[in-house]
Amino acid sequence: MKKLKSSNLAQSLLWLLAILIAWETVTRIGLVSVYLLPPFSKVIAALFSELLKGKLGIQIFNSVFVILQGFVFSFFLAFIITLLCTWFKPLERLFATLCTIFNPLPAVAIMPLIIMWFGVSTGAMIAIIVHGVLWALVTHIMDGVHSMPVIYHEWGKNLGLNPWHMFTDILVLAIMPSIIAGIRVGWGRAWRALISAEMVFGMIGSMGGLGYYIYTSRAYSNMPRVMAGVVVIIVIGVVVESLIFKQLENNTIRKWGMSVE
Amino acid sequence: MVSIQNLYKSFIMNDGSKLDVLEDINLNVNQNELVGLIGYSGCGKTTLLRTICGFEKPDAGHILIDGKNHVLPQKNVLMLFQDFNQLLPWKTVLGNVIHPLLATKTVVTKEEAKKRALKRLNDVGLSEFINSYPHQLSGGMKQRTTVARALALQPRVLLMDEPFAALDNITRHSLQLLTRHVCEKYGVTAIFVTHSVEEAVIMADRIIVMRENPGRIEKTFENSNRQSQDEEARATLSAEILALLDKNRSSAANKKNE
Repeated sequence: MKKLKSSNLAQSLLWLLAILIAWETVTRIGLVSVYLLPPFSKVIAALFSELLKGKLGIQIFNSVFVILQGFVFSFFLAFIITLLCTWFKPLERLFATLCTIFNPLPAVAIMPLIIMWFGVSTGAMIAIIVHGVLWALVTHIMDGVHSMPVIYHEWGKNLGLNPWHMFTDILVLAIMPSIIAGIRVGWGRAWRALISAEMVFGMIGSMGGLGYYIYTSRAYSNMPRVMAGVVVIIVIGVVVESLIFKQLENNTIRKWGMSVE
Repeated sequence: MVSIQNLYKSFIMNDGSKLDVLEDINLNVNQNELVGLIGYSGCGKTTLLRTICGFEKPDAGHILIDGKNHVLPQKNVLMLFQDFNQLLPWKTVLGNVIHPLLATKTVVTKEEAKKRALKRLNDVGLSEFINSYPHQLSGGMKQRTTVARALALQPRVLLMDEPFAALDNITRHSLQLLTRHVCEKYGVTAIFVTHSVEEAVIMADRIIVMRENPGRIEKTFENSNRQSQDEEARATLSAEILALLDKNRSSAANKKNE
């Protein structure tokens, strides 16, 4: 099993290398205009020089920090909503309805509204991220609650656990697969929402974030920098998936035999 | 010790009609006695068990445990299910036994809980697997853990709903003997539901045959030869119970054909 996985990784890396070589080649031999698609080497060079100058690093930090704030806030809200729904059943219908309404609504679509309500501010960006994350998270959690085996619930009831322990000792852990699925979907949506928000809002604070960086680089027609910004987003995505989400999964639902493979 | 008096239970079906599931159940179970409920599917065995536990509310009648009315589920009347997946998958075998001890404040300190959990797991022969997660265990080992987890809580009554029905023959037999043994060791009174006359004869001091539509107690058999090595007496008892069940089945079939 482990061997198979490592050979999969090797194959992926091999394909990646092939794509990068093809990219470098077509741009070097002039098949594609370097103004539209700079060679990969130039993108990497731009990336490092920007990182060394320090500004890009701060912009990356700004973006990630805003996402984290939005995420923490969404989690907090989802936690409260789930708690309320398990204690007071009629609320479940309310939040299910809200999820049906808001889950398919792209965060970008409500940006003009958010700007009217919150102005152009970090708070507005967090609001957009929360919109992107919260409904997906709540939808997943509710699915999890509904598909939770009754037997865990009855065991808790048989022990006479109070609602709080029922929630923390049984429910939250029993729906872990759904929570992790919700986090994954939420994370993807948060990035999408944030990058578009940064491009629409422009600079917030003294530097702005990654979206703003890409946007201004395009304004100066500096394609290597535009691509460098895109590469940073990809790298963050891969790192978060493989280091954080995979680890989280390995240390919880995979270890407990709760994941569906 | 367990006294069930004039118990009635019905369910409202989807079409609004009322389905009588239990009718006038009267049953007394003595301290340290193991009682087996047997009968065809639909005779209300499981509903009776669930009502005793407090998961279902009776329409009429009382359930008394040690003379006190038992209404809501409590840790002194514990239910064991047939489902292999009743252990909490996110806890190890040891964790599964310790958690309820601390969550119900049956014991106060972690050390005490661990000590007791280890002892019960040793009783069921799982000392070597305390750090395994449930998904790493076989069905039989999972049910052993379930028994240990219940025993650790020192319940007054253990209710078992076909706990070993999904196991292979050999494993089932060893678990029947083991459960019998640990119930005696810790002075636990038990009521269990079974489909198997053999299981009833091995485990129960008293075997109660139930009839369906609506569920009621038809006949009680004393299994006084359980302890003895008298194979013949046991075989006679089994045959007697089987004959009664057969008769019930054919009369139920006749009723349907009418």
